[in-house]
Amino acid sequence: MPVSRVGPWRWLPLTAVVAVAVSWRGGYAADARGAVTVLAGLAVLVALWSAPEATTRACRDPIVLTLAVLATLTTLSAAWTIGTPAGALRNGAIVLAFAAVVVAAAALPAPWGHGGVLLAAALGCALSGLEATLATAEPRALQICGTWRPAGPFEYPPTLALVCAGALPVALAAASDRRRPLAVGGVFAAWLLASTIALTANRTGIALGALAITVCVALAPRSRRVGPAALGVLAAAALSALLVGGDLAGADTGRVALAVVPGLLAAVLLPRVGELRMAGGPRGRWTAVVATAALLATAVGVLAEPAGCGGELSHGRIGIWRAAVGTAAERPLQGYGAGTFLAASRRRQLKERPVPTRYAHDLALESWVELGLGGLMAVLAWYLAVFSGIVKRRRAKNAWVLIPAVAAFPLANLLDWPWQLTGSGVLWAVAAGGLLACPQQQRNRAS
Amino acid sequence: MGPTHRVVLRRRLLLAIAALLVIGGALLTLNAPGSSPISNKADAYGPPVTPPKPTNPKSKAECVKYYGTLPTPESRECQAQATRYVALKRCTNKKGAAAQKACKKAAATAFAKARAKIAAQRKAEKTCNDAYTSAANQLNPEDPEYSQKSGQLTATLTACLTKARG
Repeated sequence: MPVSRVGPWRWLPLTAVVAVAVSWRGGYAADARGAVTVLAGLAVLVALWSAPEATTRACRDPIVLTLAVLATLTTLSAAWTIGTPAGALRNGAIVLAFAAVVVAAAALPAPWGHGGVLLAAALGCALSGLEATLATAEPRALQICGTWRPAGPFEYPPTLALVCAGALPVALAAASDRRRPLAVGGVFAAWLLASTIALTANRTGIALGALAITVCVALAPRSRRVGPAALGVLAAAALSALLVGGDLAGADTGRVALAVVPGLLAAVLLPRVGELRMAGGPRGRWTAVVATAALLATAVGVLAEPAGCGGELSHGRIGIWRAAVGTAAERPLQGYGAGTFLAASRRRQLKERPVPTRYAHDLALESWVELGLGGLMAVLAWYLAVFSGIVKRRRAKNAWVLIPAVAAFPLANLLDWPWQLTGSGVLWAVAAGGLLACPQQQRNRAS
Repeated sequence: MGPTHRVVLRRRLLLAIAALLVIGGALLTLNAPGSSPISNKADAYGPPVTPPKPTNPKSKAECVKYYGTLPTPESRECQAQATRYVALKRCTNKKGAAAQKACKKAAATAFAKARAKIAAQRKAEKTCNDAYTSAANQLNPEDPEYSQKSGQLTATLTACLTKARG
């Protein structure tokens, strides 16, 4: 008989990791990363004590193993880094902490607790970002291209959008629940998250939000009518963003109050539209409708960007990537050491842009520059492990609630640097751990 | 049946890793440098790039890029210089020395006129700002109507500057 000590207290270490990683300026600074590492270690100790079998099973998963390899390589790079060895050790510790959080999360009953953690964190971040936008208070809101955008504790709007996108399916799951209070709350939460994504005006964030909603509708069980809820939330959020003209700080109080009305109306009306819920129609049709609406929202988000904002279409990424490839090619096998992308590529970046950036805006390229061929292979293996894990578990019970969050983080890391904001990495690790626990739940129930 | 030897080993390894994370993390926290006062975005991207001040503007767009669209004396001075540059360049296409000379003279006259207008604007703006400063100095922050009076002063200043800028 499997040993499993149940109780809500088991969630404490994991929620503590998330709370610290997210609220401590998104877990970006070295001190916050150190604290997250300690708490991740404690979470594993609690998981080992309370559910030893599930914990040991989780640590054999390819997602955890690839992270462990990446952590080892990152730590070892302290021996040949052009930066400080302490920097390499710090980076290695945080990657190992991600693996630890995946293991600890996999030892807990999935997926509703995991979903609750994702939703609570995303709502807290969204509210913090929106409040700062209204108050035009940096750094939880940032003025970019003439408009104030919510950035939340991450102090970076695209990562706030990513976190909100990952939590959208959880809110939609609540929105499609038969219990009315839960459905009302779920619709309002989903509207708040979708509106926050729209107000960040970040193209990648909007596209990831659109993808999360579509995947959620496509994978949700037939018994749940997620499609109508998703469509209603999309429409309400788009209307709210239009009412404030995409600029919350620039809108007067009346307009801001008016922008809340679509959210309230959706929360009141959507759960009441019983006929719509019953007449859900084939899931494929709803997926197509929601995908079209989401695609339209993404296109509007891209076209609405002010002309000349951020330079050319890639916002300078092509130049950074060119510099990254050139830098990596100079030292392709061993790399320059963890956390040294800026120092290693500064000269080449300055040929492409006026100010060099600290990160490559692509995790695989950055790992190649910093850790050499081994780092590149480890990151590619991690991508393979994540997406094969998703494919393998896509039919697991209620896995659809977590799959979009698990997929969104690696996708965002192809174009941006959320990996460096430990808060978003920890939230991904919670979702990934929850996904690993989903099939295990089914097996336990069957036995 | 108890756990196999391999499972026991795996658990011990996991225990060791967890302990390493706790101890190593604590050491890293204690030796961590303090948080940066700038935002995470600013830390990642470096300081914002300010375009260089146009010293010899060749188009009005260069001036707008640096000064913006507000018709301040500095912005108008820059635009007048850009207009003169364009006018003088056009003069080089004129055929005949006399035509070129007349063209250059016209460009110089237009530039002098524009500068005179800018000087007048600068003087008028200074009057507005001086009036605002002296009136603002007389306001008492303890006055219950302070914010209302301050708002009125700002509105007067805005109206005065708009008039000065034509």
